[in-house]
Amino acid sequence: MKLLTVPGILENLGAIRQFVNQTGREAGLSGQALYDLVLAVDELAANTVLYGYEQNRQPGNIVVTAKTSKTEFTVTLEDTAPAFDPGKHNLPQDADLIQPMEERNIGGLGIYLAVKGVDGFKYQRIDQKNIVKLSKKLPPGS
Amino acid sequence: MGFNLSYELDTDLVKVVLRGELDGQTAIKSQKTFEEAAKLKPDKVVVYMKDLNYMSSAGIRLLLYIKQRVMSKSSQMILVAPQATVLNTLTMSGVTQAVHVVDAY
Repeated sequence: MKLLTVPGILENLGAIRQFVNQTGREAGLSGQALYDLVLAVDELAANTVLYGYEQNRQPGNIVVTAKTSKTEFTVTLEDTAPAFDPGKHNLPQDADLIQPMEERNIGGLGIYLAVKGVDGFKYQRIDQKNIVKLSKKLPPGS
Repeated sequence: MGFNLSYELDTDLVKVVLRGELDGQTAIKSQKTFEEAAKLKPDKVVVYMKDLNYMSSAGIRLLLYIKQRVMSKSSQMILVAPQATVLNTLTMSGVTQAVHVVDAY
């Protein structure tokens, strides 16, 4: 298991992506599958920074854990912001995404991309922490 | 890897070049410059994306903001040569149904 702890600020999104990129590659992910997982983690981390910490004027850390099993690679994000279950967020519907650009207001797009881009998505609230687990299946032979 | 946005004015369009990683931080930082560029030729903005290695939903929102709030209603935004991974995000977000995506311009 590998772990990264950073202050929850936008400036650290690049470091979080780099961590997921590197650990995911070591686990056997590559190409679009790895990109999708990096995007999912980045979207949720950005959400934590903007709407969890900054909006509530409540700074805190983001803890990122990477774990590999025989069949999947899992990234866990932990924060101490107020409770927020991304899976219960009002996601855009497919019909929203075919509106002309001038008429669009895509709230929740980041979470939509995150959920669509992973094989497993689980939210828990434990000890005043938001814990989100994102997993990707590993290609055979990894 | 950082992010860079540069632009140049051509005869009837403005060319915007995006390089690096466009995320929640860099999208906020570059909004003003992108806006400045689009205001020069609000009818036609051509965005070169070949060297854009990463784009999150913040990048999508930035493109939407420019198209909706800065460009004129009948304007044209053209995205040139996005990488396959970035194109996938644009497609999933429905952006490719609303703007032109071309290999070269």
